[in-house]
Amino acid sequence: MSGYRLCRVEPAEKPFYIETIGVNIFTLEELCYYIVNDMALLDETLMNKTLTAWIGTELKLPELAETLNYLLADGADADEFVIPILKEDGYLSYNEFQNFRMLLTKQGKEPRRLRLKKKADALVGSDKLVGAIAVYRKVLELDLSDAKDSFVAAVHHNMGVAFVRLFRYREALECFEKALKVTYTREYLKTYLFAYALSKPRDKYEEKCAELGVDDRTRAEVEEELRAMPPEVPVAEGEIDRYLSGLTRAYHRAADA
Amino acid sequence: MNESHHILIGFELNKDGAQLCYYDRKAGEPVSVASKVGTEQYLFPLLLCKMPEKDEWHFGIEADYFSRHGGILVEDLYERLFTEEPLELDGRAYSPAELLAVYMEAALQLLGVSELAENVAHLTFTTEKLTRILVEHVRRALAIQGFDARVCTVQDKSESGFYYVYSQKQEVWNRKIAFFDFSQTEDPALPGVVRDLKVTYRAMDMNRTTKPILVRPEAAAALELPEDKKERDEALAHYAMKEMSNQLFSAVFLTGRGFDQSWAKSTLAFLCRGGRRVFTGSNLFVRGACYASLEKETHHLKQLLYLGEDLIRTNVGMDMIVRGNPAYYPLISAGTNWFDADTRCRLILDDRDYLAFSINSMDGRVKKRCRMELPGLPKRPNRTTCLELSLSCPTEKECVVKVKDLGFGEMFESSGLEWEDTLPLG
Repeated sequence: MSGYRLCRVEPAEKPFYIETIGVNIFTLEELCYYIVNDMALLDETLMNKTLTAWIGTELKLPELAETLNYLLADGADADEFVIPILKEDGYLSYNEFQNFRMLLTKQGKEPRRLRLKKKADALVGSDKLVGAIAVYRKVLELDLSDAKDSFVAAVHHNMGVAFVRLFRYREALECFEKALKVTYTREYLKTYLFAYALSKPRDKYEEKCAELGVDDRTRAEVEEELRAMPPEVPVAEGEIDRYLSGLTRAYHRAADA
Repeated sequence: MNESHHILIGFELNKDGAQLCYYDRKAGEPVSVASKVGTEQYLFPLLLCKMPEKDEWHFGIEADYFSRHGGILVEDLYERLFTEEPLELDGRAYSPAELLAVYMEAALQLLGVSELAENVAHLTFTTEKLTRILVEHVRRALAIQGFDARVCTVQDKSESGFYYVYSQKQEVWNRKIAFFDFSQTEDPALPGVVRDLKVTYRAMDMNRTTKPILVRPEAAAALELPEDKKERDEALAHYAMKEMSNQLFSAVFLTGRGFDQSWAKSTLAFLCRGGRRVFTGSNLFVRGACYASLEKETHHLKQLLYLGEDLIRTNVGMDMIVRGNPAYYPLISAGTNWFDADTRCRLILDDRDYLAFSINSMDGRVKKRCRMELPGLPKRPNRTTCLELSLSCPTEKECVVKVKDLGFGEMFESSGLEWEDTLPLG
């Protein structure tokens, strides 16, 4: 059902800070968007009395706040907690709502290791890289004896990607090596080689390719990705300080646990 | 004054002066306030006087006195309300709204109520003719005095006449109503001598076949009356006959200043024909404004709709999703005066990058949809663009829509873009 969705509830004067993605929200619609699009991140950092107090006083929805407080007191799961919020706004159409409930219920029944991995992947998607790494580590601390190799390899690989984005290449390469050890795939190899090329001198990279017996096609694809990276970032004169400040802020945001 | 809280006020302001009344709940009718206690001087001259180098103001009769004792006189307050020009007075610029606020505050003090703004249930301001600038000045003046905008109404004299008439007994308004509104200039040097006497005919009629019952005003061009009393009576009688011919009237109201029974014998003979009730009085419209304030509480006249010239006769709305369900959302409602039509809302775009309005006339004859494009609107994931809409009507024939991109909080930054369009109404 498309068209125009009326915002009935006035924005809050004081925002609610969503810790997992490091974002302030001011409206009920923003809260609903987060719930629907970051399902994997619905945890105690959202489902708490700080949120319900904010809903009651800032959004001026005391009845909804009271309902949520009852649910918290009853130890409700995410799939029960978020439903009244979505219903209050009508953010989803009926069919979307039913579908979302189904996915949420399904998520609630998934093994903990899968839920945690999805959460970590979602944190990477939101540039919360240090938080993501912490969650990947939690996954690896669980008993994975009955987990599929592809799952374990994916955890190592994705953690490596998070490290790359933090420019922590040594840890990244360790993760990729573990991923390759569990499941050797061409995609994992390419990621490993890409990180290697970014962090090591050219001759070391060549040595590694020879050591691993990397085929020409794979090498060519990695080279192409390396060439696709911009050699320099164009910054207008007088804008350098602002640009560097922006990069620093982005880094710190990603590094927030 | 018998009221001390929940006060209902009518305030009339015209070129020849101002009048004030409040609703006496015990007596069940509006009571005019005299400028001097114990007198029947209900018309306050539209004069303001500032004493130099002091924050001391005088209004009305006192202003005239103090202007002759060193004060600076302001005698064109009414004309200033139709402009945006500030007045340089004693080394400072005063906007028309500020001057009006000073005048009104001084007049309202005659009610003898402290903390008046907190004790007013409703105040209706009425004047001859409304323009956007005048309405803005009046609203600003009321705000300066601390009145909540929600308890203030501005309307023209004709609409005040409607409230007065239809608050009377049914035998007064069961047929057409006529008004003869007089205005005059007095020469201060020759008290009692009337000059520039004018009369304006207005009428009101009901259409009982509609729901709500429509009350339609009529007006004729004003007539300047001769100075000679006999000629004046003849001219007025002829004017009345011309405007009222072959129609049935239940009542005639002779209002304003300048009419006197002593010179209007032929006129009165005609007006009283056929058992018509004839009423005279100079404070009908201010009492009507007071009844308008009362109406905000009682809604006794809710089955009537006054079709004044300031009325918007078209509904403007949008088909929206409200709490998950499709619904028509009204933005501007027919039956509202254009200067009261001001609305704001926020909405989220859902698979849309333009706005669509539905425009339907009150009589159902015109139904159309208007599309407003939003060029440059950034592409974002669905349901992450929040727009703020503001609608207002500069006249009864058009609606100005202003749109602002709010983005989606910190998740998707606002572009800062704004758009404006004008929708024709009717």
